[in-house]
Amino acid sequence: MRRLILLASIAIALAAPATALAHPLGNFTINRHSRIEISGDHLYVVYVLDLAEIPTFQARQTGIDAKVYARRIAAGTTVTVEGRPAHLRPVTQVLAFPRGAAGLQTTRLEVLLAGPKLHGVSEVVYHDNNYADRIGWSEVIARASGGAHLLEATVPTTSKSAELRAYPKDLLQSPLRVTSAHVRVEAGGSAGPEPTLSSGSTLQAPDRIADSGFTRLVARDRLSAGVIAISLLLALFWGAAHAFTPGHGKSIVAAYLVGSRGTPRHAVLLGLVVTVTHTVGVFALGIVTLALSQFIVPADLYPWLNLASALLVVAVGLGVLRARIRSMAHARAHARGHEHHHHDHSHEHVPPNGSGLRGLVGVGVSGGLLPCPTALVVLLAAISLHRVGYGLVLIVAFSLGLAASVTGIGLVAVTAKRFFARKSFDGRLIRALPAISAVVVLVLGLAMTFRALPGLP
Amino acid sequence: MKKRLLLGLGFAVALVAAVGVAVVAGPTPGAGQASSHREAPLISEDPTADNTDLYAFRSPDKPDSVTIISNWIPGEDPAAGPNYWTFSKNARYNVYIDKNGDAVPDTTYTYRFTNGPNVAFLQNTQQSYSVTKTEAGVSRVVGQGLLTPPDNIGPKSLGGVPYAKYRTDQTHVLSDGELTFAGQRDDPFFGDVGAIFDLVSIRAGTGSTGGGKDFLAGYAVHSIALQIPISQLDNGTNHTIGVYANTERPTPDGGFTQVSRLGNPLINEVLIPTDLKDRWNATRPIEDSQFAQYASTPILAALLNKLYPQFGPFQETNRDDLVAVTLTGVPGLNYTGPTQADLLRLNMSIPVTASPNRLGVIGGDLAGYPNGRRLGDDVIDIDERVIAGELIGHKLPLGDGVNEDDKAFLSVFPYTADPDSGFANTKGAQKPTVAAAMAVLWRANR
Amino acid sequence: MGGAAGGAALPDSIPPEGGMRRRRTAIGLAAAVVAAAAVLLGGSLRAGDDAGATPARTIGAQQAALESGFSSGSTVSLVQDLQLRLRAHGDQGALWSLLGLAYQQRARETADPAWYPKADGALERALALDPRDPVATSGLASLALSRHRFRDALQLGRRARALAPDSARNLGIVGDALLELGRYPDAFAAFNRMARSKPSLASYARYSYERELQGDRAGAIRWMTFAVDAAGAQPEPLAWAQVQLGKLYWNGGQIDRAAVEYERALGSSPRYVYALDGLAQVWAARGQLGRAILLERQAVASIPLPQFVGTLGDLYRLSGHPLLARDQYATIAAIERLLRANGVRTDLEATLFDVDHGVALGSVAARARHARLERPSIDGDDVLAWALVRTGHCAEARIYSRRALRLGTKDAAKYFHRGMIERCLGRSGPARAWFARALATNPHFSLIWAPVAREALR
Repeated sequence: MRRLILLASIAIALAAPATALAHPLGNFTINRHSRIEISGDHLYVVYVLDLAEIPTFQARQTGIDAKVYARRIAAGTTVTVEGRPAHLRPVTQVLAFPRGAAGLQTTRLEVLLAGPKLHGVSEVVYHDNNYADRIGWSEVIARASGGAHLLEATVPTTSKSAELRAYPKDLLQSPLRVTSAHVRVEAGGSAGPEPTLSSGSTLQAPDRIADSGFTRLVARDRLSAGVIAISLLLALFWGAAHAFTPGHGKSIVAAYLVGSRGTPRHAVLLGLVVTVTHTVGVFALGIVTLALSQFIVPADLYPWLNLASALLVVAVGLGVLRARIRSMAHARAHARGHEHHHHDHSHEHVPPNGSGLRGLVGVGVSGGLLPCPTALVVLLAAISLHRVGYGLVLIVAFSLGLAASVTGIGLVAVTAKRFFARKSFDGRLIRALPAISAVVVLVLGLAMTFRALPGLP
Repeated sequence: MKKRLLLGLGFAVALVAAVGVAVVAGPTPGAGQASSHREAPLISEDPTADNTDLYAFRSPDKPDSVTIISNWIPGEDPAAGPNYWTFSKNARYNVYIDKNGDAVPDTTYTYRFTNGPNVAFLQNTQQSYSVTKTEAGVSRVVGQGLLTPPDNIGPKSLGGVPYAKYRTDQTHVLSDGELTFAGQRDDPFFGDVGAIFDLVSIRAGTGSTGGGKDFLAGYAVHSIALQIPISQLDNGTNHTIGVYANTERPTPDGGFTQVSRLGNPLINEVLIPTDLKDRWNATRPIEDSQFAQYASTPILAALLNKLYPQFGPFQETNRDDLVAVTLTGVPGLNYTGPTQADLLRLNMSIPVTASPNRLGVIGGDLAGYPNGRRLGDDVIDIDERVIAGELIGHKLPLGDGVNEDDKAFLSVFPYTADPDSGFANTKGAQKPTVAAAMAVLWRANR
Repeated sequence: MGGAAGGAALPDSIPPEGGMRRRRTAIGLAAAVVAAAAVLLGGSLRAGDDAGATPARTIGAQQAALESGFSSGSTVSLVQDLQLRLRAHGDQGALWSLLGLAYQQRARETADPAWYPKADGALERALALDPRDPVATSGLASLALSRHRFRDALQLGRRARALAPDSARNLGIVGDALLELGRYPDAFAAFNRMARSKPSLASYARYSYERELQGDRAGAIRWMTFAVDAAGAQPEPLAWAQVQLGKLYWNGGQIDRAAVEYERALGSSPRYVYALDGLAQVWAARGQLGRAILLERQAVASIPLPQFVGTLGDLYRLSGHPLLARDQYATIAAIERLLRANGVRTDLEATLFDVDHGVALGSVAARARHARLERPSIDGDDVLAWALVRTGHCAEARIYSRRALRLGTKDAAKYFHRGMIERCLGRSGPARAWFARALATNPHFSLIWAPVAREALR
């Protein structure tokens, strides 16, 4: 059991996400950034609002009108110059909805607020009262350009978050909660250029969702190639062990091989078929699940897969039974025709003819069709965590292990049958064995079918 | 087969669960949020049960008595609302006195507090309390319905009464003649706690010149002060008492469990390893021999050798001097016998010093720490020097640069200064905030 | 920030204007979602003031900026200081562990998940410096609990216990994990041991929960009162314990006592969202839906946790605003979409919301099964039972309902679910008895299902 957990944890560690498509500060945050810009003799504030997925969703339920937002943002800020209240007026605004997680959008709104004209040296105090109760990043910076000079400021001149585009991942950096600034400036002699807002891809802030800060932590490289090799070996081993759990048709395989007079070659072939089917099955189910993930959970697919698998077994059982009955009838006719001749068994030992091979594949498919939930979950996790390649490899290893077991069982069955055959109980029993096997397969298939039926939704 | 089947199922379950878990581990929106409602707070310690300091000294104004002051609740900011500190209503606050060196308390004072009718919440912080005295297994109530002053939140909550009047009004006499006071006081402890905490900046050489930051200036604690006639403590043959204080909280099985205790200063902070602190706090002094190794082989000495080889070597093992100071008493001064117990030992036959030396015994003043502990004893400097080897011939002028409290102590019971008024809020100007945070952290991390 | 808070207010979910709304009215009938009950996702707590490290540029400003965020004993200052110290002195394992714990506390106080990765990083750093650091191990264990990684939490908690056998905190972590995994006797043993060895807010609260689970409401209240006392004046822990106490009263139908505790929590930690949410439910129970909506909107405006959004939706629905309700339910659907996108398809609380509100009933039983697999607690049993009965699998539902009630927990919702099961099985006598029991326990157990129970008894 401990090894199981070890494997599981290795799988998990490897399945860790390479990128995470969520708002770096969490899906509930409302983040804001104010840049106080003294350009020449004018005071401006460039205000950036960044809504994560959920606030965006909520806001868009009622619609986001950039102009209305801009007015409200202006009303939610206060500026005093030399102690006297000043007015901030929205001039322009740009709005974008950068892609967030789960197909949801986020919001980036930039507003240019124009303040008063400044003369000489002034003390400016700025407060951002917007969204005061909301969690999120809030930052204020101050700059001067166009001949103006920043003499003193309680806030820095550069943004720690690239104006809400890239939140710092430094472990020693708390999310900022700066909502006010006190600066002393010397205004320029003439009007400076008006600050510009972002546009194009800068406005879309593509990097805002690129990395959550968590990524680096979970993706830390503490797994060597050796560990990966070991995890693959373990997957192989547990695939093999897993064949002994119900649902992988080992009894069917054995019965089939006995019944169809299979050879070791058949057993190996069967194993191969099981591997391929199982791997393909996992992948297919994984893809279907992903495609339908908005509507269905994998658990809902299982009953149908169960049924399909069971019906396949029934069909195989029926086919083999029919072939046996026909060949027994044929053998009896032979026996009657050549009563005193030595019976030639050689044709009984040739590989199954066309229909036999079909049966073999059918059995293999039925054994591998039903992907074990574990394998599926590994794959889904790998996909959702962007470690698809590793997930695939892990599942192939798992399927190979499974196939090895099935093949082993087949070999045992084949050898056992030959042993009995060599003992030459050349009686009715041995001759009836193929038919009995076919009946067993059929009964098992029917049982599976009946078990699958009540599970259907 | 069945076993294998179970194994396989186990695998499936483990994988499903584990992968589910792995997936949750991502920066999931809700899952990141999804801390359980039931999950109790993490680093909230238990301040109302946290013993911060213990003092025991012959009363300077009444030398025929001994004053014991025990403090709780580190880092109270008088200005910090909306919640104000009081003693816990469910806890038992005890002061123990051992008179014969066997580490078994001979006299125990147990304080229990209740809130007045209006103390449900908001700003009424005045509590009433009872005192029970236990001797030889017999408990007597020696004080009942006594009042604490309210916290010094501001003039309004004090009804315009000067805080000093509350202090004098709420100094009570117990039925055996002891004086008692319980309530908020200025924290008499002083020191550059940061220097101790990260051990990197022990200010060698500055000890005598000052210049350190008093991290605790302006903060308050809740205090229980007792003044006991020496005649009740001195059994005639043995003049040394051992004192400790603790806090007990009720347990589901109907009993009480000790959650915090204090004898000598700084033991828990400096000598006891972090992962043993819970055990240390739950242990009675009589079982302290299990911790003797941490006194005789102090981690700090090893660290000093690493950090300050130029001042070394510091003796790392066989520190009988430290064992004596903390666990048995110093022979010839306040030795109480071979029983090892962390008790604050006071030899009551040593007279009060008119002008005390802050370094106590190592400063040649036998009435100071480690012979009992006075409010002005600079225990950080003393401990630093003792650990460095002061008592075994390795003398270094270590110190934290803070040599006295920011406030003058009173000359009368309960001696500690009145707490800063939350309204006046003077402390902000006095010290850097980081330092104050450090003090709180340091205390919380005990 | 309520929408009506004046000039500073920015649009939250409800616009002051009605234009958009009217257009929506035209769209027609809202989904006739039958349901209620707050989703119990999340539990990170939000305290009032939050002024963080303010890097200042000039010398004069620095001191002022630092002090603006300071109050004694606050986690803010603790974090600030540890960061400064780590910057100044480089890697020190003990400081990293403490910082990790402090970050976790900040997550509780702000309900801001951005702190979790930071906590994780700090603790991992501490472990990298000392793989046997008991504090860091214990911190990672409680982080796993916060993220509902209960099996991880158990494993880490046990490792932490092995490293520091005397630390009571690790007992609490192990107990919490065992509880969520449905291993009650082991969990209770851990809690009892914790409460005996180190009585404190943490252990009282856990022991109280144990009493509550076992149907001893008086005991649960008694020990939670002790927890409140032990919280002292620490804002977040105090408010947390007061809200827990309020919920205990609420679960017993004592809504006035509950209201007192919620009010106190708001006094201890202004704008504490869980208290706002609790009070909203109290006012709804008192029939004052408008007042309830105002409070719940405050909580949602502060942080739109799914349980708050769901309650707000229910309140809108009950007060005759199906379209506003639909917006809230749609928000929950968006949150669930985010969960799914991150690979969480089996969250118990989200599933409960869906069962309650009849969302995606086709797959809800399967999802409940998955959720229960991850959290085989009585709540997992109950949600599965409820999902099964809502999808017509009543006989099987009964099995899980029995399991859900096996500890004797007095939980009105679980009683109600059992009543629905019995009714579905055609056993009207027992069904009525269970409905009566649910209402006797807490007549206000669910905004929408409690009326159903009352109706059934008529």
